[in-house]
Amino acid sequence: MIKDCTRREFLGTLGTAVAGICVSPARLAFASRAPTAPVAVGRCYIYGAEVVQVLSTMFDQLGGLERLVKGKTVAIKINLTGLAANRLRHLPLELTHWTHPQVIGATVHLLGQAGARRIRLLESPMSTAEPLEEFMLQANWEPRDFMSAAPVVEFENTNYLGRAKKYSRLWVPDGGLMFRAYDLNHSYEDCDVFVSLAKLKEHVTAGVTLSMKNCFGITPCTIYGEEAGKDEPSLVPRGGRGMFHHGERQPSKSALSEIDLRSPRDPGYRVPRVVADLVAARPVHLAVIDGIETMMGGEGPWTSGRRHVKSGLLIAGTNCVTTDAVAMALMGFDPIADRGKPPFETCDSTLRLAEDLGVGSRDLRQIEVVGTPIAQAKFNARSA
Amino acid sequence: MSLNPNWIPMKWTGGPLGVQRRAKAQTFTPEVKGMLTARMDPASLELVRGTPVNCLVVEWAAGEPANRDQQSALVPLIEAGRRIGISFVGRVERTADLRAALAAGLQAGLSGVLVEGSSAQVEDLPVILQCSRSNIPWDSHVPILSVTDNRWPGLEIHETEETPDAVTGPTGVPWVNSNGWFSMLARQLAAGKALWLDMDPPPQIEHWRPAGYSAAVADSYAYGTRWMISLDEKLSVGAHRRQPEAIRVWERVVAIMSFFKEHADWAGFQPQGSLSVVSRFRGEEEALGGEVLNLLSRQLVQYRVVEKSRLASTSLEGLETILWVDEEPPTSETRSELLDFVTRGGLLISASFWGPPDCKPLVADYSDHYKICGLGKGKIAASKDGFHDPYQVAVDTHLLMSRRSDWVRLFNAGTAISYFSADPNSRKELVQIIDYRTSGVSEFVTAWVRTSNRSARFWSLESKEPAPLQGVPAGTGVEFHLPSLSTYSALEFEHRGVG
Repeated sequence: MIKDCTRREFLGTLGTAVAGICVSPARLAFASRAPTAPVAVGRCYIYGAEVVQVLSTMFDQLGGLERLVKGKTVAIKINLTGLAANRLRHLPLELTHWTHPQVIGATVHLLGQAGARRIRLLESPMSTAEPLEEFMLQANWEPRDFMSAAPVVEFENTNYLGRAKKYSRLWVPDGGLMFRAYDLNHSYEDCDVFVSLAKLKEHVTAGVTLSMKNCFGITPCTIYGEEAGKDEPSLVPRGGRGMFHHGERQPSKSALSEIDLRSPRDPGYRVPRVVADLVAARPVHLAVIDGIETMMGGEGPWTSGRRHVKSGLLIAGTNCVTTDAVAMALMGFDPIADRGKPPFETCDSTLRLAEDLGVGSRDLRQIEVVGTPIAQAKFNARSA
Repeated sequence: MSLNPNWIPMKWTGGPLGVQRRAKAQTFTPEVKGMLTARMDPASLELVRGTPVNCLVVEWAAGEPANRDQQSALVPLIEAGRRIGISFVGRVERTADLRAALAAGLQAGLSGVLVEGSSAQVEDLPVILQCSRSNIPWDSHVPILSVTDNRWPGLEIHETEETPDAVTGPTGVPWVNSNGWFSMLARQLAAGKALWLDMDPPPQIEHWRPAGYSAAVADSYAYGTRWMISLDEKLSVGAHRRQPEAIRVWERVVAIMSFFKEHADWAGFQPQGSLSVVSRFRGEEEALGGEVLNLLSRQLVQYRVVEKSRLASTSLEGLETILWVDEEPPTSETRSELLDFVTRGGLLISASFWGPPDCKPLVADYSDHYKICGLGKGKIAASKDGFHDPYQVAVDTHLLMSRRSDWVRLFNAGTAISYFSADPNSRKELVQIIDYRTSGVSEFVTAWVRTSNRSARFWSLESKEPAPLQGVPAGTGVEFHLPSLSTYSALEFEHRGVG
């Protein structure tokens, strides 16, 4: 928690719009020494067999997967946001706002090939405790395809307790911005390697949703949902994560409540901080962003201004902040931008907050881009 | 005179008795009184002349001498109606002397009477029995049954001081009131009989119309039963006065009835699905069994209904799953048949375990609430706690059988329900879609159908002719991108392609 800054008084007089500049000297020191890591950019225009080839090349450019995953249990958080029955026009969900199964399958295959002992696909599908495979079937996907992509592939719906006896409490190093710790499905602790396999999108609340914002969905709605249990987690998840957005209530009492109950209830303040907390508490070892086909104008078909975009991009890195910084640059945004500047017109920058937490650097000057240069692949997300 | 199961009925409330009964209502106005009185005028028949409506249900009172005014007022109407091919059925109160009322009615030109109650002695008489769902004499010999306590079809609306909101279910999907499941059940329990659904528009009908009336027609006719058309007082007054808005709503009702009349063969199609729901559906089992059907429909699960005493005479061909809803185990004969179904590869879901002791336990792959064991090529999933919550039973059933067993999935149609039926003789298949939204249309709806057919004919109320649709293969089925979806539409397939 920021102990050396009178943030409460500061916010009280200046409002939340400038809250982001209130950063402790300790955090500024973190930012200046936030780690960096190379980011690979690949061009890929269709969801065909070439996805494997492009991703394979990119992973090699990052130093190879084997050193990261051999003999390990790898958990992959994919992005299946919203209801499976809601599409942008007639388009299958994977062409707009869900990670495409071809990219998932290719990643699973390459991880398996690199020696991953056990690969677990994770997501917290909206308002249901049904098996993840069933949720996928609802979208006309065939989960068995993933099972044949590597020797051991498992699925888990992480929106509730699942088969574990208890939730895993993951602490945010150095105290956290919104919560000191988060209670999560065991899958996020019981893994050696954590992969965020995201979609390249804008986001109405957080500006962009990339490998970091994808981790917002690791939180179970049984604890952090609008209809979570009051004292104990509910048995099944219902509704969305309104408490993270608006702070209208606190999590189930079994979990830690937010650090400062008087902090702004502004979603543009809260959501980026929760995301930054989460990627600090549950470090991302490999970030992969599917931008072959996607949508802009929002994170799902329920947002206004939504549109289908073919950006022909795959992005990968071993640091989620550097990866998202490059992804932002590819979308035509400045990763150094913060509240008030695109795409963060109404929110704080998750990248800046994560950088402040020491997760990674968003400074392109500090990031080595391998594969396709940004200048060659850059597009304008706002006019695409 | 005899009863015609093909009648298309409409309530025609009016006359002195109609006025008397409504006089104490808050909504009773001079305009309503005028409309009720005018309905006895033969000229009022202009509203239904040339429409599919060919049977008017009128108040025949209690059949007592005191009601003579009502009966006298009806005579000219009946005579005029019969000249233009309209039949009349008189509603008789249960307190009446049925035989006397019937005799008087037949003499006045009625084709029969509709009487409340299931115990009336009606053998060989032109009588339609009207009962609540719980009291329907399914096995009676009458050709037409009328059922009360139906739900007005549509979204469940939560009235607020500001705008009405749709009530949502546990998954955030709007709650839909539909009688479709009941029609499917009724067709199983009263095979060969015509079933009329008696329901009046709710007082807050303003929020529904005209889509509400269209949904009311589609919600019964699509499933092979008939809503006894009933217009609210405001619409009735407007139609009587030939007000353009009212006539527009009425013409919409006529259009959808005409559509179903032109496709009368569809009403005979048989429900399809790889799931069979088996129950007694009566007595203690009525509530749970019915609600499970209702909620399975809401999840777009396609199923066949089997009353358990008829299981032995029912073909299990094409079935993948049987849901045995009742707590009571089957008879030994039925048990053998069910276990044989499992041995051959089927899934049996039951409220308790009554399988063989040597059934091989399997690790539950969906829920700890079920004891799952393997028998032959199939599985038995028996609830450990019994069936109590119909929502949970429906959800569990869908997931235990897996969405791989789905026959229809709809995208961007959260307010719609689908119904898959087929005609084994013509080898035609039909996916009917009823959208219960209160206004506007659903855009960009995609229907995924478990079929190998890549082409279909798209029927809607907006077009006389079907539109050819080419599908896109998707997984084990084909996706069809539908034009704007109003209350009712259908995909028709010319030959059997369900995979």
